[in-house]
Amino acid sequence: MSKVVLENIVKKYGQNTVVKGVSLTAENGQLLSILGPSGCGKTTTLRMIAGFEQSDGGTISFDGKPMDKVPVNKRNIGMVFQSYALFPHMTVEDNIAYGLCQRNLSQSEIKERVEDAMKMVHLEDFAQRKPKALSGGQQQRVALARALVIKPDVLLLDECLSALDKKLRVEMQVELRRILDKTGVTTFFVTHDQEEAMTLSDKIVVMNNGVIEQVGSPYEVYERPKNRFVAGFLGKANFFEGRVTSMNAEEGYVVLEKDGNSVAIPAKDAVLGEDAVFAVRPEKMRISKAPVTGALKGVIEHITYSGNISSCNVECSGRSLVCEVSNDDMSERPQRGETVFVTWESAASVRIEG
Amino acid sequence: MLTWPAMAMLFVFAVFPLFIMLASSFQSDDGTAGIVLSNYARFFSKNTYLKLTGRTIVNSLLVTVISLIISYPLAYIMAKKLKGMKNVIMVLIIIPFFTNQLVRVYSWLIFLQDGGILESLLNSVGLVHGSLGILYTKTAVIIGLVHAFFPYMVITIYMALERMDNSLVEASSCLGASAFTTFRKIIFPISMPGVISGIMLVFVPCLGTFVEPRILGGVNGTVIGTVIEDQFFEIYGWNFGAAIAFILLAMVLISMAAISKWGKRYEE
Amino acid sequence: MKKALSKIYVLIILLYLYVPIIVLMLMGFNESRYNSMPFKLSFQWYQALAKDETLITAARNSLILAFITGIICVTLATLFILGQRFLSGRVKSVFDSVSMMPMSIPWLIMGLSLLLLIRALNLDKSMFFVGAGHVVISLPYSLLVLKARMASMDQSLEEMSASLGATPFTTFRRVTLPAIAPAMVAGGFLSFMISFDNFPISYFLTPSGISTLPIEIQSSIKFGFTPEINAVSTVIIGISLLCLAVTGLIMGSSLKSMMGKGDK
Repeated sequence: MSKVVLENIVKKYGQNTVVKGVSLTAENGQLLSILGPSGCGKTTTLRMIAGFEQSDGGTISFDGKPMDKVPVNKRNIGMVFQSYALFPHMTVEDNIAYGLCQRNLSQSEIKERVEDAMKMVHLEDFAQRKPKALSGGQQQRVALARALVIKPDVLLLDECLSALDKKLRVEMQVELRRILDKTGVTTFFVTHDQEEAMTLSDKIVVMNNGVIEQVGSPYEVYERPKNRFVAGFLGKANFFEGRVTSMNAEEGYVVLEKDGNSVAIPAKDAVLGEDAVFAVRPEKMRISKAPVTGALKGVIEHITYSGNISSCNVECSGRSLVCEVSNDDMSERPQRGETVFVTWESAASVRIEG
Repeated sequence: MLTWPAMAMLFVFAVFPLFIMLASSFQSDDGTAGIVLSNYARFFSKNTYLKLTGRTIVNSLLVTVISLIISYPLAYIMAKKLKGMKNVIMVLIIIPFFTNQLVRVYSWLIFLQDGGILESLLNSVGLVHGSLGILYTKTAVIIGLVHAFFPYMVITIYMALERMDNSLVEASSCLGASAFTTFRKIIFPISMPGVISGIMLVFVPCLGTFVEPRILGGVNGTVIGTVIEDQFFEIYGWNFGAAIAFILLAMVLISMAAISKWGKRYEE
Repeated sequence: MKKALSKIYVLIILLYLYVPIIVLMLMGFNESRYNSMPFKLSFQWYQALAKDETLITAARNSLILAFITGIICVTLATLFILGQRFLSGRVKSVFDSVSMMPMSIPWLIMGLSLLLLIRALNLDKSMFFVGAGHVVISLPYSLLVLKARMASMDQSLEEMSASLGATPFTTFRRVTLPAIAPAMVAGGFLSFMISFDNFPISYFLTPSGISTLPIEIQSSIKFGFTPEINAVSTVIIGISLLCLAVTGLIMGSSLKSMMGKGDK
């Protein structure tokens, strides 16, 4: 169990600065996801925490102890790789016992802990099997057991669910959360899948291009994105921008003007005369066939049916809005080509950085 | 069918002659008619021949072990350390393969001979005084054979190491293993298929060499191969030669089977 | 520090591989008759080589033999590769083992067994058997190259050709042949080189009076040599390297075109 602090971590490859001054804190027992697109530096950051890469600047500390001079094999970390990295020539049992064998433990204690670990991941019957005889999900669980059995201070997971099919992935996410809650180990989870990050984490760190865009709980990061990137990366968002030419705090709407075009949207947080950008989540928008005051009028261009929800592209005076409606009342479903009125709560308009 | 021409060639000129060889080995060189076992009896009764077999096997083992010792680090360095130079080094290692065997052996002859370059070099540095005395000894033969065969091992071990997933090494590290432990428990075992292929490619052909031993070893280089050569060129005991050749063939096939069986243990 | 050690180690090994050969080539330009120091530049051995009828004939023999061997090997190997898909499992594995046989069995044994065959048939040694022996030992190498190429070639190209109405022969001529052509050339060169460098087979089977280069070198060593051998060795090395370079270029460019066309 460790509190992990990264202060201003920098990593360069030749002329390329891949990680540009990243600072974050993971409290003891927290599950922190590092989320971002490919190439944003998340895996590099994880590998620096592990010790496989040396940072070119800044410090990493576990419980206040700086880790710069500490080699990988002395950091007491557990890591699950994207490819699982199970030793192909060893059985499941030997794989899991490997880390314990490097520590001074008696044979009986090793045996006991390995058995407990296998039980924890429901693989008791697979002890003598070799990795190639296991399915992807089973290999993943062995890798997890191997990492946890040594009782690491920090657990690092590197996109390790990406090789599984969707259904298995969701199952593993739940399983993972359960196990991690039980063991209470500080965990870093790297992924590019925002759904995964939101399901699993206590805290999400959104990275892009080597810098941290935002840190917060899943709720915070989704409902209150700081900027366009975060708003667009986690789920979908509709953006409205322009200069505030008029506003009405009581009624809760704001008029934005850009390039000669004006649009009035339900929003509160604005200052007259200033430039503003608002993001609105598709599921916050309501579509009605009857006119509503303050609503944007538009025509439905396209509807995508996804079982529980329908995603509608509405063309409103030159802009294309994405709205999500729940399919609870199928009789009232809007049709393609229909004129509709789109509105939302003013609190749903989130002011973000330009 | 299309496969017949190639197969016919092989059966007629490779497989069939071996049966002839087997048949000849049961015939006598001195004119006795019919099937005789005297050739084999002679081989197995005389101490010199048995010692010869032993020496051939020991030589081959020595060459194999030395090749392994110098090849493994090289293959490892190529696979893990050198990023850009990998291909260049590989090409450089393969080129000598395509140098004529005789030319290679001859070059060692010149290099190691008394009065040659190596002697002058070592004399001038003070490491050796006077004549070098390496040529026409077992050492020269070993040097020549290792030179001829070790690239095979470099290639097979290199391929095995190259194929290995690097994250296995990282996983071993973060589980607490030192670099040495990682090598001992992870890297070396996983490279075993390559090591065994290499052993197969070195040990087996070494049993049948006769050029290097004769030219570099002279009298001290007598091995089964040279004895067989003598039977066909000096002594004209062809049938006896056939018998020895068959024994050599048996040795080759047995070692191949044994090494192959050993290799199955490490099959992934 | 570790990196420097690694580089030094690689260098030492490369020296071990190349120094004797380089010395050999240098000595071809040394005046000394006995390949000993001191070094004095001279071209006399190359001049002698140009006049040495025996060596030149031997060289010619080696080249012709290697050339014929190469052609035959490629032809047989190509036919084999094309036909092997029609074989049943058991026959296939027998043929596969037999085809790889000359690579595992010492050439010494193959050479002398052919000699015994000649004796059994009451024939005389002749270049025919030398050629047959060369073909047999070089064949596996052509097979290997072609097998590798066939394995990485997209089967569906041929199926596509058939579905468009082409006869098997046309498919072969217009689809398969262009695809394997580089491998055929590479296999041919490889067999050429194996044959050119071969000593055991030639040694056992050449009739008296005829010689190949490796045999000449060996007699020189046995009976006392003149450094013309150094000169001719250098020439041999040159030829081998040339073949290797050409093969490499062919395989290299075919690899590039493979990747360009999306061939898998």
